[in-house]
Amino acid sequence: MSSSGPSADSSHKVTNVNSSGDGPVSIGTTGDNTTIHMGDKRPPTRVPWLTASAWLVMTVTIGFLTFAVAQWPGGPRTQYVWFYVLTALAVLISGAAALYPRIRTDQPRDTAEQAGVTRQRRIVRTVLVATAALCLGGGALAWVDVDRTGEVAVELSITGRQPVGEKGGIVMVAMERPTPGDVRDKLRLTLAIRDEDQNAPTCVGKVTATITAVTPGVTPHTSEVPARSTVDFDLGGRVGAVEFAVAVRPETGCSMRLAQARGTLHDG
Amino acid sequence: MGGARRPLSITHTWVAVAALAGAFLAGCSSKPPSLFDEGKIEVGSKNDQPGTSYSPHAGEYTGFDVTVAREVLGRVGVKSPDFDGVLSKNRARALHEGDVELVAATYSITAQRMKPQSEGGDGIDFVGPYVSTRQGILVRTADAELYRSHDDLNSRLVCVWEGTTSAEELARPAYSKVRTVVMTDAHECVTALLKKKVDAVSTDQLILYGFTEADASLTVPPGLTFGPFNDYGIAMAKGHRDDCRKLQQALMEYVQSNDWDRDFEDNLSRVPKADRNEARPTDDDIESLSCRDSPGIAKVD
Repeated sequence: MSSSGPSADSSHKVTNVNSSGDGPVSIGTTGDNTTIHMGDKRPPTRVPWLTASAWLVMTVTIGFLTFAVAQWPGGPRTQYVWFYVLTALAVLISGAAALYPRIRTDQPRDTAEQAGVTRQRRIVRTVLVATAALCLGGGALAWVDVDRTGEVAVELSITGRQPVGEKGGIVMVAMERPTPGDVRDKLRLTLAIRDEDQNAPTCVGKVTATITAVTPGVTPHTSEVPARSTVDFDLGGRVGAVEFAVAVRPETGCSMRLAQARGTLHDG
Repeated sequence: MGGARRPLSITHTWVAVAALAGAFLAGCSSKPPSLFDEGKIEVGSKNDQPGTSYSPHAGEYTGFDVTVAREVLGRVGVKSPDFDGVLSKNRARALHEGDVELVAATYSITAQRMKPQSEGGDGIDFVGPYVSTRQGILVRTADAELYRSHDDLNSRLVCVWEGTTSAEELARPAYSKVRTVVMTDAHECVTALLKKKVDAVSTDQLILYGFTEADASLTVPPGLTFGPFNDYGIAMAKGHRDDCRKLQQALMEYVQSNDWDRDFEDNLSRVPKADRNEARPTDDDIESLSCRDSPGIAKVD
C-alpha cells in the first residue's frame, strides 16, 4: 500500500524516488513526497512474545513451587488439592504453549491458507498461555489460603503413668504454644487408647475416657469418649499452650495405654 | 487360500479378545467362593476340654463350643459340619493352611489375632463373642480352702498350656511370685494336677468348670480371677467377609434366643448363675468384635 501526502503539490516534477526499510513498514520519498509503505514482508507466523510468555509462566510456576515447598505450611494433604491441581495444570499448559508448533509443515499449503492456520494457532497458544497464567494465579492463591487459614498438624505430648490399670488413671496431653503463623480458632484432638498387651483379650471395646480441658477458656470443658475418638475443641481465641487431662477407665482386669494423640489446628 | 483364511483369523481374534474380556470382567466381579457353598465344612475344635470342646470317642465332639458352631452353621445352611481336633498353638496355622475352615475351640479374641498378617497380626476374622469368661484356677477339691486370694498362689506351681492368653496373663509382673509351668495341652495340665505334680491349673473359668463336671475331685475357687474377660469367637482366616457377616448375623439370632441358655446349661451346668449372666454377650459386643481388623469401640452417650 502506498500513499502520497495529502498536501503534495501535483505540479512538481518527480525527480527522485527512493525508499528504505525491509520490515512491515518502509519509509521513502518520491520526488518531494514522502511515501510510507505498509506491508507484511516477514512471515506472519513469528510472534515471539507468545513463546516468551509461555516460558515466563512456566519459570514463574517452577519458582513458586520451589518457594511453596521451602515454606510448606504442613497439615493434612487434602487441603492442598487445589494447589496441586492448579500448579500442575500451570506447568503442563505453559509447557504445551511453549512447545506448540507455530506452523504446520506436514503438507504444503498456499500462502493464504497458511496464514489462516497460523492465525488459528496463534489464538490457541494465546489461550494456553492465558490459561496457564490463570492456573498459576489460582494455585498461588490456594497455597496462600492454606498458609493463612488451613489446617496445621501440631505435636502433642503424652505424659503420666501408663499403662492404666483397672482402677483407672489420668494421662496428660499437651500442645505447646504454636508459632504465630499457625494460630487457629480450634484444635481437633484425636486419641487412640489400646490394649497394653496386644496378645491379651482385647478391652478396647470396653474402655471409655473423659477428656477435660485443663486450660481455661477451651470448650467443651469435658468430653466423654470411647477408645478411638476425635473431639473438636474451640480454643476461645487462645494463642498459647493448651493442656488436657484424659481420665482412662478400663474394665476389670484390663490394662490400657493412651498410645496416640494427634492434634490439628484449624479455623473450620 | 490366504484370502479365505483372513476372515477366519479375524473371527478367531475377536473370539479370543471377547473371551479374554469376559474372563477379565468375570475375574473383576467374582468373589471368593463361599465356605458354605457345598453344605459341608471342616471345623477345628479341642478334644480334651470337657464342657467346652471335647472328643469322648474318635470322630465325636461335644461341648459348648461345638454346640454353638453347629447351631450357627445350621442357621446358614450347613447342617452337618465335620469336627477335627486342633491344639491351641496350632489354631491359626490350621486355618491359614486350610486344614480346617473354621475353629471353634475356646479361641480368645485379641487385637493381635484380629490384625491382618500384612500388619504383623495373625490374620484371623472372628465371629463372636459367643461367650465370655475370666481366667481362674482349678485346684484339687481337698485343697480348695487354701485358695481364697491371689496371694495364696505365691510360690505355688501353676500349670498353663501353650498358645493361650492365660500363660501371658500369669507372666505379668503382678504375678511374679507365682511359679508357672507350661505344658502342651489341657489334658497334660489336669493330669499333672491330679497326680499332685502341680498345685493348680490356670485358664479360663468356663474351661475349668468343664473339668469339674468331668471330675468331682476338682474345684474352681469362685472369685479368684485374673485379667479381663476373655471373649471367645469362631475363627476363620481373613478373606471371607461375606461368610463372616452371615455367621455374625446367625450368632446374634442364636445368642438372643433361649437356645443359648439351653445349650449353656446342657454343657456347663456347674457354672454359677452370676458367672453365666456375665458370660452371655450382647449384640453390641458381637458387633464390636466380629469380622474386623481391629476391635470396635464402646458406645458413649
